[in-house]
Amino acid sequence: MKDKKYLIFFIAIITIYVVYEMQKPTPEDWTVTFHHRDRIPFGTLATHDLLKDLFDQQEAPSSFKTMYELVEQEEIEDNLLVLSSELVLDENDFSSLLTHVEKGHAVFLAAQDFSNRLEDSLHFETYLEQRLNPADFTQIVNELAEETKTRVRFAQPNGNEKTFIFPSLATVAYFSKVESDSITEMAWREDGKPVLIKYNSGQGDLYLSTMPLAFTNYFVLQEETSAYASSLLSLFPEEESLVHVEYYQMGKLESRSEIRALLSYPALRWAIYILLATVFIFLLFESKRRQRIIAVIPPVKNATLEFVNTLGQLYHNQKNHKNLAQKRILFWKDYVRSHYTLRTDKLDEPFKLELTRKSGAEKTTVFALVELIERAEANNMIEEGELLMMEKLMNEFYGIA
Amino acid sequence: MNYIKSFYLTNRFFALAGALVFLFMVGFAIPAVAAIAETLFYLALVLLVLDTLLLYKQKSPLVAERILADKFSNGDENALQIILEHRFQQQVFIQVFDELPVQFQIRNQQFDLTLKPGEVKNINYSLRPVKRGEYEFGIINAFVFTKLGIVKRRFQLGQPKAVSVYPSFIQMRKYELLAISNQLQQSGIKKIRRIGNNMEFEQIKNYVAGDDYRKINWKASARRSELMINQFQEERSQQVYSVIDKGRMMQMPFEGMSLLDYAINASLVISNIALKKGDKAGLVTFQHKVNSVLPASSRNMQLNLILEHLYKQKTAYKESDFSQLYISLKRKVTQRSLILLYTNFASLSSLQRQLLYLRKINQQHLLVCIFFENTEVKELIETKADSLEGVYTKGIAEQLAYEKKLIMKELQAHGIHTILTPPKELSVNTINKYLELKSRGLI
Repeated sequence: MKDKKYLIFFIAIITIYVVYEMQKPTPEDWTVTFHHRDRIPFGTLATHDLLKDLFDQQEAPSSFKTMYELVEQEEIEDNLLVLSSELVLDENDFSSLLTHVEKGHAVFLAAQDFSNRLEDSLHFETYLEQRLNPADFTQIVNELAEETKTRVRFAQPNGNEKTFIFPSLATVAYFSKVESDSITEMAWREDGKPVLIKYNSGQGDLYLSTMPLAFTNYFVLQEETSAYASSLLSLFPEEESLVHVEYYQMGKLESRSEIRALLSYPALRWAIYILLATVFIFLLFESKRRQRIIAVIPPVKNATLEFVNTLGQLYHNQKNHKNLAQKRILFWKDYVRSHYTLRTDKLDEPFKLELTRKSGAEKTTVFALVELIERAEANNMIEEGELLMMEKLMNEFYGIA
Repeated sequence: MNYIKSFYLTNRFFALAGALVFLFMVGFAIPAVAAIAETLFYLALVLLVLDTLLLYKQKSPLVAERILADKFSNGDENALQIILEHRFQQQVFIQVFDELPVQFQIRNQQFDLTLKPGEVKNINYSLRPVKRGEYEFGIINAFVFTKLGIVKRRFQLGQPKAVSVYPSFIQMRKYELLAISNQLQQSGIKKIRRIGNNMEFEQIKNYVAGDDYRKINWKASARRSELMINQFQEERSQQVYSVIDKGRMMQMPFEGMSLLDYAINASLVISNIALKKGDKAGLVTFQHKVNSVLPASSRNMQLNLILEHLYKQKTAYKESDFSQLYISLKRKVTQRSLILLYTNFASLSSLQRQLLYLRKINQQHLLVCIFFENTEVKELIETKADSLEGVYTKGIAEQLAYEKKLIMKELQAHGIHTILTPPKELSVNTINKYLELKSRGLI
């Protein structure tokens, strides 16, 4: 009954905690991921839905490979959309990018900051007005709540101009310097700073935008701003497929496990797979019962020995040797009386001789023992040594090996 | 589903997997080994499938049955047998796990057998229960594997069965024969006083050489002009009550069995012998009050009644109240009887508290007080002490043993018969006492 009370109490506490946790509003996750499976504001789930509509695709493909891998190794023929907070391209990636564009494909790079290599080669510079701490969500929320808006003017290739209103958060970066003839500006903030440029190279187009956030769920799902993303995406030819390159924000998703290095060797791959499979099989099969459960019934204990030991310790702490010797002598005398039918009131010479004869013990033992007993009975105190001696002689007398 | 449930793997399987892993790891350094390992891997897979097929080819190729009695005898070894029969076409190895009743607390009852094709094997073993009551046997789990030994197939065979553990009827039968034929002195059990001074006249018969000539009936001899002799028989129809103390002191176990169960076993033995000798046997049990009284009788079914009665005894091991016992005996047992009181006293003072009632009972009946030597203490006394503390402990043990003797002396000083016995020899000592008292005509 008592146990049940505790159980109910315990369950109640857990329930209260669960309810409390459920009531607590879950804080919005404002991490910038550009990941196509994320429903969070700065993921791109909604954008991918948009992509499917725009390009009539079953699935808007995502890739976690570098530009170099895609272009040089896989030789893909798709247009590319690269979204990143900070786009860093190395030598290989950059040259692959140019190759891909020159082959006649369209590539769209959106980032708030571009690596120097890119900026130097294409002769432009970017400026970031305000750098947000990506971990500080409250700052982002406050920023979005503020009513400061920026108009963005977008000149479409067909000559029409459209204006969109963005929270300033999305437009903190712009191209501060555009020095090349081969670059065309396509969109500007209301203060005239360009936010979208086009670089003509060979047959293809390379678009660069400083507003990657415009492609996130938050802005794609808001009425005011959603048209901007779709306008930008319609820069891509409709009949060609588009691949979202997530590598530059998310990294190589699948390459995070260190075991992958081991798995690249066939022999080790075998070993690891067999090992894992065996462990799994072991857990599965060895956990099966071989016979029914046998409940534990504690056996009733015979506590006599514990009792005797405790009493022994107690007397031992008292160290009353005389008293203990008397107890032992009583027992010995009873033993002599019942086994050898001898009187024990007088321990004289004939008694000793008769006892020797009847018990079959050594004469010296019997005589020494009887003498010790007489001494112990006569004296008020006996020594520890005598007690131990008595034990030795009695063992010999009783024949205890 | 059943296939998966009955599918088990052997240690050999895991050893094989381990070896393959090791080989592949070596193969990382030496590619040739990796090739061998790969071959071995596929070979092992083939063997696994082959082994599985061998085991699962037939639907029910193994039959097992557990043969056991409906009733077990408490405190004795009870025989059991498992018969295994199989129809595998090759030699098989079988691990048998018998599901024993929970009371035994045995979790490793495993038998390993090797069966040739068509061979039938028996497993014989025995169990020693130490508590009365219902015991539930489960099924028989048999794990079969072939010489390949990669896969084990489990069979769940036999039927669950409930067995009642009764007071020791095995001992009852054993001692019955010995007591009737006066053979208790044989097989080294104990000397027994030969029944001599019989009281009750039975018949006059012809004298044959060897008869006691003091008993020649001279008048009859004169009439028949040949020597006739009086023959006597043992007195019959005396009441023998087994009185069992179910109190706190009877809980102590020796060799796993409580003193109470020793007493119950002895009661059954002595009741049986009393009935066989033509006496009336009865039963009284008590703890803080008298729980049951089975009046003494010599009817045919009396032994069965006593057996069932003893089987059902339960106790809370409360403090025994001897005054209640005295009152109850005074009221319900009116004829002078032999009272065999199974109890246990730890100290002289605990006896003295009850002595008054015992003496009162002894006035009306012939009381035999049966209590127990503590064999554990005795063992301690018979070992060497190796330290001063050990000597002290031994001294205390000797004092306890001596006190039991004093208890016996105290009882004898008041004319109460006593038996001080190790639990194991309880039955024999009680029978001998009964036969002795009977032959002395004390009842």
